[in-house]
Amino acid sequence: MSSPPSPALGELETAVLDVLWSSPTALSVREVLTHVRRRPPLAYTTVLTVLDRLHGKGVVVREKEGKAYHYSPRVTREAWFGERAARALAGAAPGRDEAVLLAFLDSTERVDPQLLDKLSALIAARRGGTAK
Amino acid sequence: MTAVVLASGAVFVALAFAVGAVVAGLARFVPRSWFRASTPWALTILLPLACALTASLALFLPAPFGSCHCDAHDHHPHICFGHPALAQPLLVPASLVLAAWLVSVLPGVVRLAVGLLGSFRRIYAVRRLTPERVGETEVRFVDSGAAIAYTAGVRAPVIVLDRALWAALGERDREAVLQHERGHVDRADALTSLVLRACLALQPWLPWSLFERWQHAAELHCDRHAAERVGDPSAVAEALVSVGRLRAAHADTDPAHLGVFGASGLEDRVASLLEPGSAPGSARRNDVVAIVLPMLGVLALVMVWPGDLLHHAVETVLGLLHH
Repeated sequence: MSSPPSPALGELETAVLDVLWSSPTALSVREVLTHVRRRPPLAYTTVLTVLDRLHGKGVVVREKEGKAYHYSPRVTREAWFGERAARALAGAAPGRDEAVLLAFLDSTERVDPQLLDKLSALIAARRGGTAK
Repeated sequence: MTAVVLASGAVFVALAFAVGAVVAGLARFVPRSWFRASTPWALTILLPLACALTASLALFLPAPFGSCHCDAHDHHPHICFGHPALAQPLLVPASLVLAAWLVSVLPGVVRLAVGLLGSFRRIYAVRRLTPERVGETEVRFVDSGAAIAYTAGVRAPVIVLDRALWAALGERDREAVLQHERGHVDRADALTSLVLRACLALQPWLPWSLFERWQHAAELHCDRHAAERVGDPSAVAEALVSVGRLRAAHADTDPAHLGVFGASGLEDRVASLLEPGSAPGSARRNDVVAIVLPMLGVLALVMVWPGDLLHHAVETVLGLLHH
């Protein structure tokens, strides 16, 4: 399995992906529908839409067998959660004590909207001056 | 023998403290506008240690490299590997100085270790993300929801960008952010940050503001570097404001963590970019390398001459303190 993309998933998408992870083989939409436990039960078209969306996000792969598509996860459960954890850690705002990290703007800096307006005006004035 | 080594260690600590006090005192009166470059601020942190190292190494000089000089004096302690017994009176005071120093550096060393651990966990996580190319530059995207863009790592620094931030920025803003981060990569600023933090941990008497001044100057340098690459300083200034606006939209800042420059850090960076004729910032110059290499040259020269004079001078001062 290749390096996983890791977009945010909804509750339903996660439930469907869970079914695919639990299966040793690729599953059709109907097979997924029979395995997914939801109250009230899901409609066939709902599962189809969810699988289509997961395919669009690059999370599952599909192959046509006969008239129907069969779906399998693109990444293992471990790789998926590893990637999610890595993204959460990498996406945390940098702290002041992080020794080998330099942020574009100090993440601990308080930015006053009025100051930003003043700076925007300053830049516009400078641009205007240069243009003359 | 132990007394000689301990005396040399105590001289190292005492001199680092003395030079550090002078440097920090002078730095307090230096307006920010005097030193826009980052190297002088890195020097304020490295200089006390360099002076202390030179003097303490000079104490080892006469015995290993020249003739013993101990019969030439009788008015102060002698620090000499040939006659270690003569340094015996310094054993207790030197041990006390070193013990006090070790106790005082402990909190800083622990904080540095914790910070390093946090950084390495983050870098490990960042390296697990799929690399993507933006033009010539390899970056990693995260979906943090916060307007973050940073460079992390010492050996092979990685640029990390928030996907929402990237989507919200215009083409010129993106280029400015990317070139700014490339400036940090080319200058190996993460390495400098690590070295300076380690030096500060060993010199708890130096104010943290010296590091913040270096950091601010490094940001100014990378801003100018980006301006040169983008070809328009005001485009970089605009990118700073754009990121600031996105940051303000997600503001959950803890005021206790505000740096010495506070909000004026951004203001100063924008003003610096808009200054007419501001010098372009060429990257690819690491502050530590720029300072340490000449320092090692000076140290080598001092060991040849006037290392012996320095040795006697330190002994005389120790004699004055001891009697």
